[in-house]
Amino acid sequence: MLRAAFLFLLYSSFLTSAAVIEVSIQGRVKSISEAVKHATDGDTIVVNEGRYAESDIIITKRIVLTGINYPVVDAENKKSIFVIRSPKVVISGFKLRNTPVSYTVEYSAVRIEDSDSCVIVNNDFYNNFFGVYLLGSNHCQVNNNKFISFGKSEAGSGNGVHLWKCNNISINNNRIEGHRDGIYLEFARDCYVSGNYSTNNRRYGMHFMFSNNCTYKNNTFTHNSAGVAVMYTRYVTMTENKFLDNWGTGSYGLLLKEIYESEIEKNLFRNNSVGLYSEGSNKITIRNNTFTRNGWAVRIMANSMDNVFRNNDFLLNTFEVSTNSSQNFNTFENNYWSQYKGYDLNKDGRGDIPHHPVTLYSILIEKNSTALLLLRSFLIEILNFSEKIFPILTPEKLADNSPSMVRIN
Amino acid sequence: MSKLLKITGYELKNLTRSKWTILFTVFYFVICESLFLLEDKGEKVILSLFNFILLFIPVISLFFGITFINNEKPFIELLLSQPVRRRDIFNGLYFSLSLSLTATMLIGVGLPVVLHYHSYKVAIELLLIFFGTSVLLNQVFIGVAFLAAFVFSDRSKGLLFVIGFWLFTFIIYDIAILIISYVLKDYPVDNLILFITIINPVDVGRILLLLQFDIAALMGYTAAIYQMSLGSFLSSLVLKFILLLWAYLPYFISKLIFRKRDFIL
Repeated sequence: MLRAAFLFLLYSSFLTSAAVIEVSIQGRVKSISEAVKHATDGDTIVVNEGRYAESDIIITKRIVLTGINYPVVDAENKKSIFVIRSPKVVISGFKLRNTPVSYTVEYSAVRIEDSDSCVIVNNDFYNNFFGVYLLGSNHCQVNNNKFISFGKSEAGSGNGVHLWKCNNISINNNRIEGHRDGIYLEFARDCYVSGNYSTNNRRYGMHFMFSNNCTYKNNTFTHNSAGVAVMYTRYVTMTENKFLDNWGTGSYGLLLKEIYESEIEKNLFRNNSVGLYSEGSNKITIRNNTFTRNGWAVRIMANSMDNVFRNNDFLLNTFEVSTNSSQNFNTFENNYWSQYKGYDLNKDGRGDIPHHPVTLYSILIEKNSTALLLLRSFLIEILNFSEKIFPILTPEKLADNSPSMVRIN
Repeated sequence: MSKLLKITGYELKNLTRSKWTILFTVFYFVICESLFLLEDKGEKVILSLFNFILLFIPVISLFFGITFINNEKPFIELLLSQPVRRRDIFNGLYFSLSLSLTATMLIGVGLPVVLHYHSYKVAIELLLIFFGTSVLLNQVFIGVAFLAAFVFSDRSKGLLFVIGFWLFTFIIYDIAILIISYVLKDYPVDNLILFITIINPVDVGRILLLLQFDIAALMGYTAAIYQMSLGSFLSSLVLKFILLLWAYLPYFISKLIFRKRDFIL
């Protein structure tokens, strides 16, 4: 019965879906644009190996484009390559190259305009201005692609994956390198971004604004010149991401600006100048993260309130927490601090005296960064010690009252 | 040459038998060992260790150095009446003292470091920098002790100079830097302050180690430090050169004084 049903489905799909058009350099159809012109809704275009110097291929039909052995489509610095204006278009298995840099037009290898349910998988994007550019499109997928570009400056390079006013997009398992922002989302709702590896981008590994209800999971952001910046957004979930090796003045593992009611969980922040920087961000839960070997694990500005840091590990950071305020409006509890000097006499796994992660020296440096040269000098140790005994300048209430004695994560 | 070796050997024998040398070795060992046992914090234990060394190397080298020479002064005068070149006498004293103090430090600190290597596991070259810097600092302060001993014929003045030098390099200088950087914080004086900082041997030693361990933080701020960290290899070469200079200059000057000096006690 099941088999009969399957055969029927197969048969009916043959009935509805029309021909397969084959494109090859020696064949009858020699160019992709020609094939697209002849195709009707539901057709499949199979492109054989070879180099096709084409650009500005406008797709207005529901077609599937498949490359065999990664045919190269070279825009030769003329225009965008694929411009999709139809829902349910699939593009897979291509090498898309050389879309031009422009300061007026956002040329991109694949541009999807107001089209739902498009799928861009297994492509290789090389030396493009923008990689995939989605505009007002919903329910699309961008999976398993590789984006390599060689942007020289912020202004002269485009984003790997760029979303503008899109809902329900999923971006998974891509590798993005050398663009301006690896992944850029603006006014994107309910998106799912996972398993991506974003490295060496000119500006941010990922950048989003006004993108509520999105989930970011298991991505790695490393060696980006300014780390990852996320702004003006509510209900974000960021779990199991890795923020690594973002070094330099104004470089952050993760920069939060006006993020509300979000969850940051099980992430790893390692070797960043600043691990997590928070400005005007409220009601965020930050738990089970690991901050290790950062210059500053957490820098939290006075305008960030009602955030909760719970069950995080702070290991071997130069500064654990720094702030520009003598007040505290955030909660720190049950974290493990490797700089904790207390004891646990009743053996309940929690330190008996509170831990103050903000040192006097970190306050001094907020005001006078040159004093960083005195890091780890005896003078600084004395100052920190005396401040610990009589807190005057450091926020006395910013303390973890039940610090964990052992690593949590 | 043989006379130099003879003097060095004699003094070395004297020093190794001295209860002070043994005491220093035990002291270094106990402190380092307890540091390892108390602070189970990975590679940064090396930094705490270095902080501790930065505190005690100057004290031990300076004070033991100057008392050693003061005690040896009658013997020096005896030697001077013999047909021995002054250079050989000076070098004999200098080499024997620096050899014994270096050995003291290397054994006392090195043993715990090797014993606990499994618990922190840093790169071998970091350890080399750590020990190299410690040895150089040791030389710096032995040189200063010699200088104090031969510039001031009055023992108490020499001791006072040594105490002053220690306080100055160890804490007063840093206070001055902090104040200067605070007063001038609105001006682009990063390079100036960096320059002032690396004049002090204690600060040089500290920054050499910082470049290895806290670079993520150093990269976070001012342009000067940023550049310094960028050319990490070059800057650490410059820093090592400054330390070498600091180790050589007091030795050279005090030798000069020793050779010209009229010893009447």
